[in-house]
Formats: sequence, C-alpha cells, structure tokens
Amino acid sequence: MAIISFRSDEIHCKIVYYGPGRGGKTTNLITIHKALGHQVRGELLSIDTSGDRTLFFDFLPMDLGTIGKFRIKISLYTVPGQVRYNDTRKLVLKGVDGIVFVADSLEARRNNNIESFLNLDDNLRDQGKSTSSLPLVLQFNKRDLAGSRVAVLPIEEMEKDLNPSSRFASFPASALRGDGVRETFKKICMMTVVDVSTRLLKDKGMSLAGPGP
Amino acid sequence: MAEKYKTPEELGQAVGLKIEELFSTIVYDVPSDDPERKLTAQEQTTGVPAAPVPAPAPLRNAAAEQRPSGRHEPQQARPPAKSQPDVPSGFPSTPHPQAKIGNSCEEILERIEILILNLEWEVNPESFREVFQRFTQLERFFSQDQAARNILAMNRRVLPRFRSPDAVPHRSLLRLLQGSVTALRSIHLSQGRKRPREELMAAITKSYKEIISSPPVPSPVEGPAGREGEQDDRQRYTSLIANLGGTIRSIDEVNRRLGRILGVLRQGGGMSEEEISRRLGTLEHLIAERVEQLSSFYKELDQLGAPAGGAPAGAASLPQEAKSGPDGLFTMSWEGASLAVLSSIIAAFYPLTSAQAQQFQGKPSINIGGRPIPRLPLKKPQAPETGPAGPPTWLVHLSSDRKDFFLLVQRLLGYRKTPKGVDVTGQTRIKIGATGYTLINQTIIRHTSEAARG
Repeated sequence: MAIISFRSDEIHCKIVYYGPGRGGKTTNLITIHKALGHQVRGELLSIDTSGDRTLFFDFLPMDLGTIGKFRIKISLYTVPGQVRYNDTRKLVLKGVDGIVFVADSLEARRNNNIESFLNLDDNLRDQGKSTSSLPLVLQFNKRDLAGSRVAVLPIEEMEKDLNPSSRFASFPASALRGDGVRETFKKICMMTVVDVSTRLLKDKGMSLAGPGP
Repeated sequence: MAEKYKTPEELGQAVGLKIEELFSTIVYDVPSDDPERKLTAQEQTTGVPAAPVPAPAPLRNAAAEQRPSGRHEPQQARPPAKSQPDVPSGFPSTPHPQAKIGNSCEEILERIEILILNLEWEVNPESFREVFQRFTQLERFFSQDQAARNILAMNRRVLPRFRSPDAVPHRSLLRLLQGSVTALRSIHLSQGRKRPREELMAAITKSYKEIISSPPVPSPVEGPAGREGEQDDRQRYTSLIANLGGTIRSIDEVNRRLGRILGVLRQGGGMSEEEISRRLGTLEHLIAERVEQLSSFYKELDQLGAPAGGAPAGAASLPQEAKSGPDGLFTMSWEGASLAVLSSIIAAFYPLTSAQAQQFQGKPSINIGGRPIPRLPLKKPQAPETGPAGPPTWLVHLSSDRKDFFLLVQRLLGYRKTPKGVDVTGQTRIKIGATGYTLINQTIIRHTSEAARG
C-alpha cells in the first residue's frame, strides 16, 4: 500500500497495469521507461522465465522528484495476463494504489477483456477492495489497428463492456506507437496521488504542508 | 514550497504537471519533413495505412467528476504531437498481426533491434519467428560479403531452436543477436569496405558456439506409431526436465535481482523500508513458489523413474527392449576401441553435426537438459582395435543411479540382446563373435563416479 513518510517527506504509490494477456501492458511500461529520462526512472525489473511471456511481473520504479515538500515515488507493475497466473496477479495486486486496465481493441479479444476485468474485481475483493474503491483508468489499446484488415472493436462497444456506467476515465491508445500512453499514465498518477494523500492524510488528520505550527 | 500544495487535489495537479514536464523534456519535435516520421508504426510494419489514433483526451471522464484529481486537467488539451514521447517506431509485445517485411536494410536492422529489445522483456516464439524472417530478408543486402553472410548463417541456424512455445532462450542468444545487428550495420554503412571489429566477430562466434553446443531445446518429438506409451513417458520426462530447467533459471533470476537490491543497499541507495520489504517479499514469494514447483517436479520424476528414452528432441529412439532392463548391449566404436554399453544405462543418443563434434571434443563436461554432465573418463587404447579414430558422430548420455556421464563415439555398431543366463554386470570384457568389447556397465559408472568424488 501507499506510504507517506513525513520523516523523509516521501509519498510512495503502487500502480498496476492490469489486463488480458498480450494486450500491451508491458509495452506501456517499455514506452514509459524509454520516454522518461534516467533521472526519473529506476531500473526496470522484468522477470521472464521459461521462454514464456511475463510470468511474474515487470516492475518500474520511478522517482518524480520533489513536488512541494514531498518526494513522489511511483512503482509501476504489470501482471501476467494469462489466465493461469492468477496467483501472481493476486500477489502483484497486493497493496495496489491505482490501476490501469489495458484492454485489447481486437474484436477477437473481447471476451478476454471482460474476463480479465471480472478477474480484477475478484482479486481486489480478496483484499477487501473493488474497482470502484480504487483509482482506475481504462486504456483501449491497439487503436492503430482500426482501419486495417484486423477487426477492431468500436470504442463505444468497449465502453459498454467495461465501463457501462462511465465510472472510469478512459483513453484510446497505441502503446506500440506511444500514443495515449502518457495521457493514461498521467491520469492514473494524478488520481492515485490524490486518492492516496486524501485517504492517508484523512486518517492521520494532517495536512500536506506538514504538521501545523 | 511547503505551503504551496495544501490539498491532495493541488498535489495531484502538480504531479500531472510534473509528468507532462518530464515527458516533454525528453521529447523533440520532429520536423514535418522528416520522412521517417511520415510513416506510422503500422505503415512501417504492415504496409497498411494506420488509422489515426484519436486524440488521447479521456473518452469518458466521469471519474474526473467523482475524483478530486479530475478537476485539474489543464494539460489535457495540449496538442498530442507536441507531447509525443520520443519512442522508437514501436515495441510490439508480439509482431504485428499483419507484419510485412520492410524494404531498406537500415529499416530491417532497426526492426530487429526493436524485436531484440522486446525479447529482453518478453520472450515469445512469434518474436523469434519474426527475427528469423528479418535475418533471412537481410541476405539480399549482403550477398557479396562473406563476414555478413557468416553472421546471417549463424543466426539462421540458431533461431529455429527457439521457435517452439516451450523454448527456453539461451543466455548467449541476446548477445549473439545484438552483436550481429551491430556488425551487420557496420558492414552496411561502410558498404562492405570495412570489416567489423575482430572482437565483435569473436564475440558473435563465441555466443553462437555456446548456443549451438548446448543440446536443442526440448520439444515434442514425433515418434513412430505403436509406441505412444513410450512417447508419452518420454514427452512427460522431457517436459519435466524442461520445467526443471526453467524453474532453476527463475531462481537464478530471482537471485540476481536480490543481488541488485543488495547492491543498491550496500551503496547506500535510497530505498525505503517499505520498498525493500515489498521487493524482498515478492522475491521471497517467487522463490517459495519455485521451490514448491521443484518439489512437485521431483515427486513426478521420482514416480516416473528414469525412462531410458527420456531424451530431449533430436535423441535417437531406443529399441523397446532397451527399456525393459539390463538385457541388451549397444556396441560402438570409441577412439579405436570397441565398447559394449549396457542398454539400461543409456539415457540417450544424440547424433552430432561436425560443428558439435568439434565443439564437444575437448570438453570435460557439457550441459544436457540444463545440467552439466561430465565426460566418462575412459583411457584411450594404445593400439586402436577398430582402425584410426575419426571425429565423433554420436553423443551417448549414460545414466545409472542418478550418476550421469557422456561419451563421444565415432560409430554405433549395433545392438545385441544379452543371452539368457549371462551376467554382464560383473564383467569388464565381453566377446561377441570374434570381437572383444570393453563393457560399460553400472559398475564402471559407479566406480568412476566414486573416483571423481574423491
């Protein structure tokens, strides 16, 4: 879970990129990793094993630097999308502060999107959380394929499937090209920092400007 | 500054601005006449005109109303072109569904580089297939250059090993691929006038040899009809061995991650206690999970026994009798000597290419199924019985009581069922017809193993 350390004036948030297998979660992280300078990004941990895809997780620590009096640190994770790795997904979701759900725009992956979203909700419920209690941003990835010969779901259809009551902010994206990655990332970071600081400061009854005189 | 952000909303807003700033500082505006920028990633890879991605403003932003952060989105209206991150044309998690090979040499090399980067992150057979395709496509640019042709040939030989879904990438593979791209680019840029650096060529060759000398990655083997049971056992065994190898590699990977975390800590790097405990906790979980897997694989292997045919792909099948007990002898020619090896201690035969034979000849041990196997230390005969020894053509994997050795033999001569009542386990020589053979049996393996231990 997020930490606000008043001693070292640091806020740590954990953001997880969730979604069906091969939807582009890792590509999002690669794009962010490539796009941010060395001064911001930490070392990327990507554990791939056995010739399989992301079996465990990708981990990208980021230090956004000092904002106001706080040093903001964000850890980005992805989970293995494949159905059989649910234990790993549960593990990575532990203590999550914000979620980006990367949905695949390919029509053939429609069910995978829905299944993965339900799985996310299930796994969050195991922790006493839910998709409505956490900052969550939807990303409709692979939009660059619209207009090609591959059947792509219309945005409206995806909204209907995953965001019927329009609770979540959503962005079209092509992680492959970097389109929409920054916007998604920015949105989730903002929402998460607000949520984390609101929640934790409320609990502690303190203000961000530090303890009162 | 401390008083500037008094509410979470203000802090969130500042974080948004900071992210914009961070992305913007590393972005450069690409001139509109830049030809590379005119092509979209999809056009470059598929030849199909890409549909424009809608401006990345939120589609639905109800959350913005619900959540405080949504009130502060002044940057959202920025023109996307200005804030486009400086990202290469693409990092596909898999090749594009309609991937079409590009045209120029540089474009193909660039694409391979992207694929290599992708392989560093996520290993999948599709990427290997595409890398192979791209290397094949490069041939036409280097038809006159011997060094380049060698590099391409090495890659073409190596890559098919990793195309099966169960393939495990070799640790030298990325080095080979990266080195190859660097060398090919240098040859291309100099228009064949300049050879790549010798160290680079040596590194490529070394990586290639390392990969080629390791046994091929296990994959399902098609067997003759009527031996399905044996095939099933063999496949199960092969798959277990592959799983074990993968698990061991995972633990090794976790170990390296732990090393890095320790390195950061030792250097006094800033990592909060929470972060340390989060990272270590995850790694601990991974290790526990892997150890559990190892135990389960061990149990399975124990139940399965050690099938004589439990060989990786490429291994020759053994006769049915070979599985049923110590009742057969394989005769073979080794360094001019005639050997008779008890069938029950043979785990596998591997046919060797001349390159593999050369590679293995001087090795005291080699990796089979992910573990090092020592050479059976036999004394070469002073006077060859079977004529001069040529290069080895078969690798024989011997296994008895979990002790393993390998042997490189020049020829396989035949197989003979042991006559009933003849005990070959306690003998050192046997005569079949007019020829005398040195017997290799469990006793030899046991003694050799004990001698090696101490």
